[in-house]
Amino acid sequence: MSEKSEKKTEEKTEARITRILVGKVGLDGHDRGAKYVAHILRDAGYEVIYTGIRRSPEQIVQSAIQEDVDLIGLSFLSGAHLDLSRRVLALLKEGEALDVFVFCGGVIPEVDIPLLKEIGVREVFTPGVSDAVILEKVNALF
Amino acid sequence: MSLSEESSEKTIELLRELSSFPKPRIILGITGAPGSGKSFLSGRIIEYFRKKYPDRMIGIIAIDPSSPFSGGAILGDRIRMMKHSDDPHVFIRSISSRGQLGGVTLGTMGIISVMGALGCDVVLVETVGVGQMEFAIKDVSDMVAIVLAPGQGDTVQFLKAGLMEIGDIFILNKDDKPGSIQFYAQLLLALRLMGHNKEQKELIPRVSALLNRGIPELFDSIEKHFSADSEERGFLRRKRLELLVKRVISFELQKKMEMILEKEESNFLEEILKSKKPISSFLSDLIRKMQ
Repeated sequence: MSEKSEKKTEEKTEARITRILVGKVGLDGHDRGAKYVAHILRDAGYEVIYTGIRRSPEQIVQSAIQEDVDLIGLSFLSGAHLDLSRRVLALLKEGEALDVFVFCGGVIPEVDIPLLKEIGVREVFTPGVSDAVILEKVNALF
Repeated sequence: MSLSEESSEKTIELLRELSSFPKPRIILGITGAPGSGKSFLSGRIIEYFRKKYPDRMIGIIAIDPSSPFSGGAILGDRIRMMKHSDDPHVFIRSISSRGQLGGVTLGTMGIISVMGALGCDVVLVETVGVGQMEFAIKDVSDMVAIVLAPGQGDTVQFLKAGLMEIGDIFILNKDDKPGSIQFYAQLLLALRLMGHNKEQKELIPRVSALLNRGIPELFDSIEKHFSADSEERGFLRRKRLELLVKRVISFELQKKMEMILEKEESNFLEEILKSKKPISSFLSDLIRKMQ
């Protein structure tokens, strides 16, 4: 165990730990990517509330509010990213929880990235992005 | 609830402020070996509760272990209860053990108070029985249910680890599987030898979470147990809280002492080992330094 991670554990047990909800909204069939991201986040010291596949936007948002998460990570495979991200963000607004950041990952065409950012998504991760970049961007949000 | 997880100071403040708010009627601790089906069983209990009391709220605290290396955690218990995730009468909170057992239990108490204040009639506190988390459950629950399933070779070993003592009831899940009746007989014998005197139906409820059998009887029987003696329950809850606060105080003192020891000069250890003075005199010195 490196010295750095030892120190991190010490700090984290004292201060507030960042909580991230990772889940898949919609009808995607498998969650390998989401599980992978959940693990790298855990290894970086975050608490990840993993909610699995085939969730509705309502389920994701109610869970996020109850768990008082700081960040929601949505994973998409089959093209529903714009529609469903919009719904999630609308529900967050309704629930007065816009202080929760949202990021997306998965099979998302480059052209849609600016559109997602416009509706309020903070970061978008497409296939091939490295662990280091994901962690860098997530760490930068806090 | 997040405040309650931050520090013991904040939890105590929270407990003070919430002391006049309603408390949950039933706080049920649920633990069991991995694979015993307890999260799924909890989901079934929630389902039944919602049917029985459509206007009441139920809270669930799901405790998962943190990585001792990174301090992070994957809190995945909620996944087995996701169908309740858009039911406003069900409040699910996932927490990690964060390596501090004393801290966990006080923080959990804080969360339970918030749930009570929100109007939760029943609170389930659920954790996997590994490490010492199942003992933490005993500190916050009115009643502890241990979930077991037949066919798990290590179940008997698991019971030897002290769970037989902290459990109030022992739920035999996966009752639909072969070997269940033999397991039931062995378990009953072992528990009787240990002094558990409850009537056997109450002591070892047999259910199948998968087939959704036995759940109403289980819950109704637990409720019956709670309908009597609410004064005694209040008294026991206060005693538990006292115990936790004492533990937190000694934990904080220990931390302070460790900081002082860190700052001591490097020949401190040599002094102690070479000296003829009893340890208690060194202790008095150190206590003076704490002031």
